[in-house]
Amino acid sequence: MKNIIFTILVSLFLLCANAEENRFVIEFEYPQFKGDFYVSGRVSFPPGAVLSDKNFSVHDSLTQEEIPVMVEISEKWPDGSILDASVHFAANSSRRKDYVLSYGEGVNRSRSFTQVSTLPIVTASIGNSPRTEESLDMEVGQLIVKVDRSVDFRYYWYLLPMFGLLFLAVCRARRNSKS
Amino acid sequence: MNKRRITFLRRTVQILCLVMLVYGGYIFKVKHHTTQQANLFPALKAPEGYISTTKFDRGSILWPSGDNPVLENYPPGLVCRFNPRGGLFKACIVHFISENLTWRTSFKYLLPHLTLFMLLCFLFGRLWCRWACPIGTVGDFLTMLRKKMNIPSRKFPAGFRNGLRSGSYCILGTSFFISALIGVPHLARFQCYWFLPYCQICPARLICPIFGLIKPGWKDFETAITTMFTILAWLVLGIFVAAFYWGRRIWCHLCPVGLMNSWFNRGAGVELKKISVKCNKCGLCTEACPMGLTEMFEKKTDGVFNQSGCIMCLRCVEICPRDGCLSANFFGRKIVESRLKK
Repeated sequence: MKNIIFTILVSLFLLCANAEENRFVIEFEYPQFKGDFYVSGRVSFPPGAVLSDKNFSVHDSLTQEEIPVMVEISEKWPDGSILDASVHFAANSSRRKDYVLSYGEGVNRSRSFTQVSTLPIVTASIGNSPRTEESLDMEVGQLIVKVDRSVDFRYYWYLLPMFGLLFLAVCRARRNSKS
Repeated sequence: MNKRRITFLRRTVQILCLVMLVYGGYIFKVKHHTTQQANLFPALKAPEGYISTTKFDRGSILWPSGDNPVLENYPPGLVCRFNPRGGLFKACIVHFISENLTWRTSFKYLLPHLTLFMLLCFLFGRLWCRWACPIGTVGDFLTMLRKKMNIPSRKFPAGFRNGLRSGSYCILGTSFFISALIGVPHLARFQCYWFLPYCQICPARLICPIFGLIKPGWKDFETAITTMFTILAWLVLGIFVAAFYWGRRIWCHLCPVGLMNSWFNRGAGVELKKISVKCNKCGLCTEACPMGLTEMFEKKTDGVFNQSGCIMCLRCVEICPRDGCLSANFFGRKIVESRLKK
């Protein structure tokens, strides 16, 4: 009985752990004009964190209201999880809100849009990670580097023509100097 | 083949090589370790796992950018990435060996490249220096300028030329020694300033980016070491210009890349032959030799007279007024010989 309870507890714990939800604050400056505009930003995730584009959503941090977003995935990790994505959503400068991006397996986005109307675009910084055209700082967790230290005869066969050429060059040089 | 034809052919090849090496990267946009590279040159492709060139960020002195489309393989002595936006080839052999000494790359990864280098040197010797080297072409332009201005070239004694050759050995040895030294993990912190010591003072680094309309790293006075390298680079550039302007190909005696090519010169496939009985000792060959060599004049017996200093320009062959006295051969097969001038 103890074992069963322990197993259930561990399973629940693991489920909770798997259903983890993380949040990024979306920061942008509201434009001077009044009206609708699009907020556009890029976000990068650690490997294995976001398996599908449904696993992240944008919310109003106060009301927890889900905001419809359009997602474009630009890069994926080797395990198939999302590395880099562009997120676009509509906002209004008259109705100011604090937006957060939630991601993880516990997140299931229900609202999205695909049709884009002609609106001004404001670039946002997601997750407060310093990001420029050249660099991107992100937490990737443990990094495993595999180094092949085995003897590789694919390369060592080059020694044969090398020594052959050397031998020929020396022979020819000696013959030429004699003549 | 008369004089005009050889000169015309050589200049055409020089210009083609200059254009190809400077702007070739615009045509062959190949990045490190890509499948495109493997498809383009399957036989020459870089070995799997080979450490590619670094993105060293001392852009102000070393190169404007390290992230450029380049090939991993190259003929024996190519100038470095002098056009970061379009430079076709990665590096000369001095650059290549220096950086691998610093990174302590496994010997096996060097083997394909060294084999290629040796093969090309074995086939052509120092032919590269006079027929393809881009900075040599730039230098030849300076020489042409001097000729247009009717300024006579200076003659340098054999002792001076030998001294330059010894200097070249010193430069090469010091460069490799420093590169190996900073590869020691305890001394890795010096890599920032001492990386590729010869490349930092090489005139190609300053001259060649100009062709790509890119500002070369003229100066870096950040630290004492970078200041030293900056001053040395200017000094070497001055020597380079002066050497080509007054002394024709005197720079080629000092060039470490040419030095490495010259190790194979005596046994190279391209060979110069003399038939002594036909020689009338006019001395025109010595006069014409841009390297100032005298062996072809002094040689009293028949046979091959390839010298380590010879850059295979074939000037001696084209200037020789005696029929069949001097000839250029490729593994014994005659390519061109001197003709009686009428």
